[in-house]
Amino acid sequence: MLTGRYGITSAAAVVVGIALILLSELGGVHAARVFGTALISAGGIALGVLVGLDQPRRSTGLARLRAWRVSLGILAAAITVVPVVVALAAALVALPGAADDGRGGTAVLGTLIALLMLVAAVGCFVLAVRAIRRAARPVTPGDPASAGEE
Amino acid sequence: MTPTREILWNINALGPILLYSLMAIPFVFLAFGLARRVRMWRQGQPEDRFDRLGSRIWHAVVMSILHGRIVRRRNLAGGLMHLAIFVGFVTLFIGTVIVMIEADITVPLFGVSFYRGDFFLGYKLAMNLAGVLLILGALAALYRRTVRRPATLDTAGDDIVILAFLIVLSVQGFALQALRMAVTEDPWGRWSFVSYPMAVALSGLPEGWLRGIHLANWYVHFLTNFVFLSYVAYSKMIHPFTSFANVVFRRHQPRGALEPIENLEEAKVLGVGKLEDFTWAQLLNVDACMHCGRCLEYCPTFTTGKPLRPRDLVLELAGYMADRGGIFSGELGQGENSARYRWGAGPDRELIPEVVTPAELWDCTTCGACMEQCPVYIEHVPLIVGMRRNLVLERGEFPEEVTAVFTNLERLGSPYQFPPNQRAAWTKKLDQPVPEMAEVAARGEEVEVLFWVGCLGSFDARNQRTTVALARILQAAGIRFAILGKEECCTGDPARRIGNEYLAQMMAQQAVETLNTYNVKKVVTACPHCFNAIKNEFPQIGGNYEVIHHSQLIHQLLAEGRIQLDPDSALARGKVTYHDPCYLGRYNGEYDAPRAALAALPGLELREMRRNRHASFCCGGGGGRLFMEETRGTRINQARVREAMDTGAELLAAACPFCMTMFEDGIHGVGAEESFTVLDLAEIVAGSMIAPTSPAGGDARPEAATPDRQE
Ligand code: SF4
Ligand code: SF4
Repeated sequence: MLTGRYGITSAAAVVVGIALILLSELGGVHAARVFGTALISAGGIALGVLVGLDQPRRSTGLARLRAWRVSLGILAAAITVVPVVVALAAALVALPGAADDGRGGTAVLGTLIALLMLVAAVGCFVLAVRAIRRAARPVTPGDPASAGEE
Repeated sequence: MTPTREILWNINALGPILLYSLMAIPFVFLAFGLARRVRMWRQGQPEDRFDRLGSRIWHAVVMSILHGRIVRRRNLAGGLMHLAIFVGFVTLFIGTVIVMIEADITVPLFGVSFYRGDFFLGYKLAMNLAGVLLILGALAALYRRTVRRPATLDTAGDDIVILAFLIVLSVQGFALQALRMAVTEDPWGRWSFVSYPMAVALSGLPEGWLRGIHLANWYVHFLTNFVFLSYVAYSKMIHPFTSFANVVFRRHQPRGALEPIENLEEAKVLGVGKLEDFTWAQLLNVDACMHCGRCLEYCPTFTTGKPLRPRDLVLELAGYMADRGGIFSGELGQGENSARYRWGAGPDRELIPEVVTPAELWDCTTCGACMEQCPVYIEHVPLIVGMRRNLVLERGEFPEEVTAVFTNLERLGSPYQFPPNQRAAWTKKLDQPVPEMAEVAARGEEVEVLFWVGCLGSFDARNQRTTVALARILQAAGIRFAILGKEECCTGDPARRIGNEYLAQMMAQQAVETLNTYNVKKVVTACPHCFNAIKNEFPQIGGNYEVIHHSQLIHQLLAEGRIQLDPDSALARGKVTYHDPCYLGRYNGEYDAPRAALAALPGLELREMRRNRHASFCCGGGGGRLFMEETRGTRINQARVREAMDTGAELLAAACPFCMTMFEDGIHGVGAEESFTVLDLAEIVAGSMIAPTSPAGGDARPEAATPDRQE
């Protein structure tokens, strides 16, 4: 699998791809970017396919990920939402300043849109955290026969 | 000044380095998840679904874009909601690709920029529109799942997380655009009609703040995208891939035809007793479910409170497959993928009864409502019948009541305890003789059509009245027809759907041999189950005939003026409602002929039931259920009778002997014998015929039909 010919080639493609990206961004050779991107994508896909088609095996890394999935999920949700909440809240805070420059109506409309989006983003965060916690609850084996009579 | 914008505005070299280098991670996760699924499907038995691949793919593309089976009149709100999410998401994805083509290919390699001018303005407009659609669609979906909560929707954590992801990603996109425009003050900013007002509101902030917040949002936006992409293959969001694959590889055989077990005598596996006994395409089938719950809407078992819920059956199988394939854990035996479901988890369960229970399997009426509704062509009935086959043929486990059916079929060629020589007993009720094929052939004559009477039509007293009525119509129209009489046998339909493939094949083989002996070309039958079996399943074993249902023939005869109806007929007066038999309508697409036949009687006012045509509700008698006790939930036939009575009709028109039996029982069950009647279409027409002048005709009045009608 990963130690085989295809695995090594795929991993090498990713490494070469990253090198090309560095060349593009640090060396100013922007033409290299697309090749770097292509190699990284193709290498990543090939690695995924190789592992995916292989016999499932024990992976302590994944088991650990599973064990931490609630905390990781909540952390990821917070990181995802905080900057956009700050941006949208900033639109609310900035309204008085913006309203002065003759585009008051548009600014109010913008604030309103920002407010709606803020509510949506915060609401999504709350719902997602609840959902993540709920999904992690242990399964209580039940009686399938009684499922229709609940 | 040409309208355009700086791509990667406010982002230094570290941004693209991280963006492109980390791109490998979501690709690894996505490809791993998809490959793991392919690996899981390949555990199944081989099945050729690769014929006409081009047209299969084309159909799937068209279905995906047009949302053909998703946006339906009866599911308009849900369908449009999904369409909004789909169009929004796909447009934004294409938009991202366009930006990448400009920034990474055309400009650096060829020095060509197309991301400017009118194209750029149109792009901005389209992206804002797409973002709005996506947010509104996802919000509507959240509202449905968290506030409205229809009974057919079962919401898991995953459903919410996916919708939250979509909303937050779109909001991030708008915020990023607004923050950039607040600094750059693009004169064409108004084209971004959502971000622009926000940009104006934000413009009151110092530039340094705006740049700082923009930078943080940019990094988080791309990371959110990557996390989302990585999550796709392990969540419900995989459905665009699996559903598309399922539409590509859907079964092309007639829907009414169940696949036979080939070489039954030598087959090592009889039915589906373990996951690997399903074909790969069936495993793909269960993996394609997008949890929409539409299969529940018209499912008679779900709506009458029985354990079988087609969606849950599919999802349990999918969860079990994921458990056994180690899709989440990467570790066989360590998954808890079906944690979203009630009944426990883990790969060490036995398929039957621990993943799917016998109660679920036996409750199915094979009505096909689930398959008709499923937007992604999941076929529940073959899954269920496959498992029934295993119960019957391998384990000898089936409802007790069915034992007699099997014995009778084996000994007498029908589910009933009547000898074959009584099959033609009903003909004595006619004034004119009905010839049998053996006599016709002996005389060296030919007939236009063979009347396949069916077991219920032959032996069941109530259904004999339909048979007599149809024979009278045929005689009145001067059609040269014959019956098989004692040579007729069951088509094998009930045995096949109960899971006794051995008996089913034996019956079908016998029937085809008889029909072929007489070189039969055209068959008419009043039984949609026989109709379906002869039309769709007999060709599997060399029986190819033109098969018409009696409703179609009656309609044709009326249209050709070969039978005349009395517009003042006492029988055909008042309000009538028509029940679409599953095996005529959903399985064979015939909805109009019976209605057209009823419409020929001007005294009848047709009142449609709430659930009609392709969304009809089963009578409860299919799939062998006619022969089984209904011990769980409430009674399906009574639910349908009540629905029929709710139309205000006094007469229920049936077109199937199974339905007839179920409705007679249902009417009795709801205590409506005095006010509500069920008659077969043939009885209504025969009872309203003007005595024919044709020499072939006799007394056109069915002796049994008229007195039964409660006026
Ligand atoms: S075939 Fe009919 S009864 Fe069976 S699961 Fe589907 S809808 Fe329900
Ligand atoms: S089986 Fe089909 S109709 Fe039922 S929930 Fe799944 S996708 Fe929806």
